Amino acid sequence: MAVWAQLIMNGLIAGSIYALMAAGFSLMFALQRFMNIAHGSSYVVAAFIAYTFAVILKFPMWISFLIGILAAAVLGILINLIIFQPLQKQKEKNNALLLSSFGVFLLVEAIILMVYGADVKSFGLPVKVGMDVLGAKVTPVQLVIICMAPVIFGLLALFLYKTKTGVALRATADNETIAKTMGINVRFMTYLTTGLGSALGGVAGILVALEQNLEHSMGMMAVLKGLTAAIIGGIGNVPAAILGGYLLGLAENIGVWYVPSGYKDAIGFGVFILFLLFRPQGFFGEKRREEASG
Amino acid sequence: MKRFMIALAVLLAACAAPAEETTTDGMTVYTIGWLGPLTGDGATYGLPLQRVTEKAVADLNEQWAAKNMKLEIIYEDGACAGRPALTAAQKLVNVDGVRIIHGGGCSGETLGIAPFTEANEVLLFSSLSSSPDVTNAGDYVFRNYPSDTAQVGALVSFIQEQGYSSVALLSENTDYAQALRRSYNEQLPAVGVEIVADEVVDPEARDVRAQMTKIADSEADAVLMLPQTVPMGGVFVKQYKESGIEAQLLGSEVFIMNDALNAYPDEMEGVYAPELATPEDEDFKAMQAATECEIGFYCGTMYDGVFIIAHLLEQCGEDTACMKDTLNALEDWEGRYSGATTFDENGDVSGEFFIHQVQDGAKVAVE
Repeated sequence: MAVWAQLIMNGLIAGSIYALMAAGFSLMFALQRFMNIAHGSSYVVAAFIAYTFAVILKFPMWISFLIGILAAAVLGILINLIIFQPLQKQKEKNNALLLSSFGVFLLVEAIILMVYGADVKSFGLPVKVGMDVLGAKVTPVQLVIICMAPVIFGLLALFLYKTKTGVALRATADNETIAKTMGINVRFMTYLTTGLGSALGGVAGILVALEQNLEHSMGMMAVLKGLTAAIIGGIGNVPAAILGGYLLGLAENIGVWYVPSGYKDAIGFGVFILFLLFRPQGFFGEKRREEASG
Repeated sequence: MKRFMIALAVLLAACAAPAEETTTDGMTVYTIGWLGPLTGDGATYGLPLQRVTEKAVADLNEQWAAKNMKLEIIYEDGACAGRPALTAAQKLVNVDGVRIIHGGGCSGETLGIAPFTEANEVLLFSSLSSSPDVTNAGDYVFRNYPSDTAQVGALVSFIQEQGYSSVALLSENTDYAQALRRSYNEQLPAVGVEIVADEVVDPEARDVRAQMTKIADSEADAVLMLPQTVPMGGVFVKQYKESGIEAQLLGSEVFIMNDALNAYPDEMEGVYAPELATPEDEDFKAMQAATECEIGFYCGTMYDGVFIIAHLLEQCGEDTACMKDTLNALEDWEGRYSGATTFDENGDVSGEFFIHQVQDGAKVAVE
């Protein structure tokens, strides 16, 4: 029982992070219509900015985290404004946008390496034996991850479904042309989604940095897992992407009980390939392959 | 097509600068390549070792000034993996024209480039690679750091003496760590110790909770951790402690490097691991302080490696066949920090590992 509780808890911790990344991907995809790999930059930058303020400049932790998340949102908006919008204006195909987003991600990673160096950084939180939660060992930071993610998703749902701006945003995602005719400021909506999506990535980056330390190369795996989760759930559909994140986290962590743990990532990507082959629209997504393709 | 290939060959030949050069004032300048992990987790020892090399080269050039000779080094990043190391080695050999590479820093780098350097008769001299697989990597491959075979033997004997009947292994999926894992998998069952869990972690992974769950369930008497780098060792020990496992913790020499003890003083307390005896003299400590090299004996082998290479250049110029023969014939070459060096027929040196325990944040040799 304890083992199963631990496996499920491990899955929820990983799933929360994947879900945050996937929600960001999906949110941005809904308006940008391409897989924005540069989302990984927000994940890394938020962690390093928060580290700079909390550890180097000795700001209170929570203020540092807010600054980190804000920096992630601003970075996401700036990248969209400076790089993707001009490319989209030139009617570049989504493949070109995807590749350029990958380039931006690598560039930001290289800048972080140049500024902060290659060594691993830490917030310096004390290492403590996890407390017993339903038979599983869970540390306070892990508990924060497990609890915070649903709260953020709840707030996001409230915003998307219960506010005027949220409804306008979803309307724009649904049909940009009609949204324009209805007087919705589509450009503002694009900034809003990139900012929001990037902020979600920033939260994930900071939570992971708190739990596992931070380094300039931390973004790549987060991008891969976030993308996988978004596609498993159904890209462009935020609640589906969130569920995809949890599904991926649980599949990986429960799956390794039956196979050597070195295959943990292979389990995740195996599930990903199965979805691409047999349900490309994702678990909860609608059949919109022609729109989703690059 | 043939013309194009010839033109390409001529172009490449023109690009390749000679590694030995005589300047206008008659000074002979030798250029060699250096390859180690300068980015990624491996940079935690690649960067200090680059500083050690720079110091050794500065000291050497002071001595060589009287002989009107100079050594220059081109540093390349192997990122602690075979593929980037091979790209870097190809650049060093084909573009820079070096005939000696001081590296790799990780066993994965050395094993990744050995077939290429061997085919080009380039001398590959490592001061860090300890994987047993390096032993048979080629005739032009030498190292002045002993093979892990010795450290595995020392820890297996210790495990037997302590009476542990079951051990769980946690290793990183790299050439170095997997070579150690294979050795323990062969040697532990041979002395009656059961391996009850054998978990492998990808180098990019930072979440090893799944592995810890399996190790906790194995109820092993001792858990042996085999990371490639200090950061991964940190990931292991942090999540091990958080998971509440109480088995005796054992490790490799990398696991108890000083950087790891500084980062996780409480978590590393009580860990047993094999390690070569690090020189205790003031000269060694001064070199370590000057280069901020906190990785024990490696600092010494790296420094002395530069001087062994210098000896070869003095004896052979850039004739690598001559260097190979010189190294094979070398006996008790006295290094400043790593003592007497003699290479066996495989280009390996011997070394005696002692079991150390972390006590009050320091490594203490166990009787």
